[in-house]
Amino acid sequence: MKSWKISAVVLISLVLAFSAPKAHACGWVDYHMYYNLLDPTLLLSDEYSPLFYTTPNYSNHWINGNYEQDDNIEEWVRFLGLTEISDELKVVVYESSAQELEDALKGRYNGKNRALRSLAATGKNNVLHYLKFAKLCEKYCNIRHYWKEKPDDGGEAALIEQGKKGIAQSTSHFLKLRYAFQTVKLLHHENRLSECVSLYNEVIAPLGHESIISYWALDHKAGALLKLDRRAEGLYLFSRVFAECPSRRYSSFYSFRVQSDGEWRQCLALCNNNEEKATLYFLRAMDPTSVALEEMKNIYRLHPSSPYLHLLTVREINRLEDELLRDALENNYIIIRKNRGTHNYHKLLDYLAALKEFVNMVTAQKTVEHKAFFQICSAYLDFLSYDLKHARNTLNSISTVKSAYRKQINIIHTALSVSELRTIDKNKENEIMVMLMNAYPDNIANHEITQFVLDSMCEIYTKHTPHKYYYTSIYGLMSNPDGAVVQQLLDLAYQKRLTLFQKFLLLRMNACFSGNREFSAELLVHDADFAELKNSLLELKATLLLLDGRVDEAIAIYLALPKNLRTGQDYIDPFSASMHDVIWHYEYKGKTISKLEFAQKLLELHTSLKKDPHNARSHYLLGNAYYNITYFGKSWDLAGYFRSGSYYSGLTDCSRALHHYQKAFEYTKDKELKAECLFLMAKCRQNMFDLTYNTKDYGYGQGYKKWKKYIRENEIWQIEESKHLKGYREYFKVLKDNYSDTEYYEKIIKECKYFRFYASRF
Amino acid sequence: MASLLFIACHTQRRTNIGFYYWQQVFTLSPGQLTYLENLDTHTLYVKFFDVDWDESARDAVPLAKIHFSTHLPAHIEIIPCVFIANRALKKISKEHIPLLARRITTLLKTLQSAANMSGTRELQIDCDWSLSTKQKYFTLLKQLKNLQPHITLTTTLRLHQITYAHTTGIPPADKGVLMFYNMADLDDIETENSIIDLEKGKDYLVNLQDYPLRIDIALPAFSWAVLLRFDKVTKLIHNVTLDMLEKTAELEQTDSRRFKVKKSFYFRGYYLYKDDILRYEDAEIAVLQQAAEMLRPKIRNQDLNIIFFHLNNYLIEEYSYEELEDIGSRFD
Repeated sequence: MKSWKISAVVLISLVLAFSAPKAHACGWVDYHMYYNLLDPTLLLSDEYSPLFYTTPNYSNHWINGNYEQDDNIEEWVRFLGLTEISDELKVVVYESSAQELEDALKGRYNGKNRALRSLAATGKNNVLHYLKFAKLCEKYCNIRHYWKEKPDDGGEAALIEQGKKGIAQSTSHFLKLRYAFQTVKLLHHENRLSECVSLYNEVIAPLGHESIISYWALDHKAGALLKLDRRAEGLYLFSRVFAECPSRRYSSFYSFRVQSDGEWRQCLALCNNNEEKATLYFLRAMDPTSVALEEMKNIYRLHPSSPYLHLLTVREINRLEDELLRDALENNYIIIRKNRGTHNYHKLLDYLAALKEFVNMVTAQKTVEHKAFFQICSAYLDFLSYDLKHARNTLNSISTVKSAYRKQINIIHTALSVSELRTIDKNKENEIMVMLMNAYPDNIANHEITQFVLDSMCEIYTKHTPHKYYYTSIYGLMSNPDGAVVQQLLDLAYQKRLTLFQKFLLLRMNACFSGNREFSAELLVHDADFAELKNSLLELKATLLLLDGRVDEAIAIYLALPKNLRTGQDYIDPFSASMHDVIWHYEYKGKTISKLEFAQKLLELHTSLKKDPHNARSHYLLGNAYYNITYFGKSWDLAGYFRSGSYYSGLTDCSRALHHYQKAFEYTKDKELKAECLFLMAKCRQNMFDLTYNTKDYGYGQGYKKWKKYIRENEIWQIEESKHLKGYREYFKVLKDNYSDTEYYEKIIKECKYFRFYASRF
Repeated sequence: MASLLFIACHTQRRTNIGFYYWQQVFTLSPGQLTYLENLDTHTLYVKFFDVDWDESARDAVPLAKIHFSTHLPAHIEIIPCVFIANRALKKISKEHIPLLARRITTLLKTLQSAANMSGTRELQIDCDWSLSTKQKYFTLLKQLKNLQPHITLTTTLRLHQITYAHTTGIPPADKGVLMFYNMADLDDIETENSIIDLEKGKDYLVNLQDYPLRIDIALPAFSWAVLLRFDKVTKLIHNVTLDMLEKTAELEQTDSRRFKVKKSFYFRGYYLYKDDILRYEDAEIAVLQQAAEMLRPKIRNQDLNIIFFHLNNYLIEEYSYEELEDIGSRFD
């Protein structure tokens, strides 16, 4: 769930190649990275949800302008009493132009905004004057004008004076505070730092903290203090803004950067009580790379009931999940331990043990609040350390009526049950599926625990049955089709008596093709026909048969398929030759063909060759077809569903194409066609060379090293020479020696750099 | 005869030493000015701003804009540099590239004007582009050149972009600056020194002499401590010296380059936890000398700028000007 990167390339290619599944419909298998089974949304209130470890971009909520604006507008509504038109008031405060405000002041506003009309009609000139002033301040302070520098017209000084006047003349605290805030902000931006601090102290501090604006101003005072090198004071104030003012948490959180032990001690000394000190430790713990247990211990010592402890406990456990509960099962600690394998997680496990000891210590205190919360965390930590029995005992001892906690407990129970399984046990398997069905009656398909159960069971099935389909994602199967697995899945789909787990597996696969990602648990108790899955598997089977030369069998399957799968997608006609291999064909406007038509044409050509084996034209067309459906050809998607840009994938064998080109060359009397066949044969041979000597596998892992070595050892001209010396340019030689008088030769010498290079060098 | 020709070419090369200036507030101390004078350096490559993606604005935005706190010395030429985060290119649509080019050009002019700079003869763009951003980056470079055709447009080149030029492409720039550092795997806990590792570096240079752009060379003159936590690279702590680490009471040296944290404490603005490991990495002068010898025969151009990354107090304390002068002379 953390990363959307992992198989994006794979997925994009697949979606392009195969029309039925859509990217958003089947994300779970390909995008997953780790199992997040301790759900912060079940255990914590959402006040700090931007800081949950699982939130992809945890600051997004806090930097969302609306969040800040809404809090401010609430105060404006209270001040002006325009509850019913608060949306329009928001437009006035944040979007009206200085001209509109000026018009309203002069009684000339005739726009539609009811809030602005009301302000003008009721003579709220003091409000309109303030809003116009604030609008002018934006010109100098609005950080969203990224690409513009603030105007160099000295206007800030005049505005600061205007702000001071506004403070002096305002009779309402509401406007006085806002004039003071704008002025403090301007002074901060103008680097008039001492004045900024003084104005805050003299005007805003006495007004108290009833308004969020006082904290917004405090944020500026804190920034000014940092720049004045009164760092500890500034940092302490940022921590107060963080604790007290959600709408300024983003800036205060990122501004809180302690530089030294001395500064830290000074910050602590400025705190008025232990709760304030706990906030300092919390902010330090929130560094994404912190070792938060140390801070948690300090928070607990200072303020045992601090809500920060809950957030940090879940956050640390989620971080451990990210390391230990990987979806790549060979790196998944639970699976490794279950299979008694070796691992390299010792440092993390030591940390996990220390965290568990702390959680247990908190749980054991008689005065602990939310005991069930800590018990759940303790049980889950036992699970993560593969102490399944202890985890189960702890879970069973929890007494809570909180439904969210109960849901979390069920998730852990399910995870324990599936992790205890070492061999296939139909009863246990059904029991686990029933747990999932009861937990998620409306949508069983798409949950972290569902995925964990599915993958864990498939891991067992793969080991203990001859069927290899259990741990095969449908995308994986289509990327790298295996006829035996396709047949096994088809057999399973047509099987009458299926276990709940088998049904679940097939329904999930079916959902990839039906486009309906979610399905209810009820489907598992009824007979399902898995229609989309069956048809897609049959289509895949037919394609594999086609490649195996069993064209008539493939045609029979295509004909039985629904029309959309039989003729629904057009492919580039593979029967025409191309000088250059262009594999991405977004703008292709030539002739297209369906798979059925392709199969029928293949059959027709093979049939004609049976009658007339020396028919050069038929051989030439078959050569084109068998070349173009390979990895290298323009119609590669007729034979495959995935094409990698970084390694050779799918059908790469050009020998069948080469055979037919050789026959066409042999039987034709047309010198132009002979020349063309020679060139096309040379293309086949070049691909064969690349497959043998150039792994192309430069994108990932070992392949990268091979490619690096290959490039290091071979200059481009050396590679061309190598093709020649190793005998892969034999057709270029014949072409050069014997066909230089053809029109085709004239064409390729101009357009093919390989041939031009060959002809000039060898 | 061939060797004579080589020597003839060899002796004609003109090498200039310059420095990157990568801080946000531009100010040159008297010590730095003297250092530049001693080296007869007249060129600083100053980062004017970064361009990164801002999720809330849903746009590529400038960050860390330069602020000139002192007047520019008349004898120092400033070459503006702009760092473009690759993620900004990943996110921005190709239709917005011309706008981005215009914005960069306008902001550069505004910042130059604020610093009383009349203009520039060169602009350097720094970006670790990838295959997925190649086209957008190259379009950006073309657009930047179109907007200021009279300037020399330079782009930085990472080592892999030279070695795998057939894949990464040749950027449409007037010149490239090969960044001859950051060559070993920083994330590998076994790595000894990721900043410069000549064994690894030489592998990348096989195609350098065939690279079709004129090349300048950027060399490292910096150090850092790599923070390892739970055996993973967690942070880089800049401008740390070995001496500094050796003299810190909270650290225990475990080998020539590694230090273990004995008790949690703040170190140069970072809170280190007990049992963290610091791996010290730098660019020793002897290694830079070897790097120069390795690079010299691979460079074809006669005018060559050697740019050290980057000018600050650490650099002038750790590298004498004679040492850097010597490095420069090895390219002559």
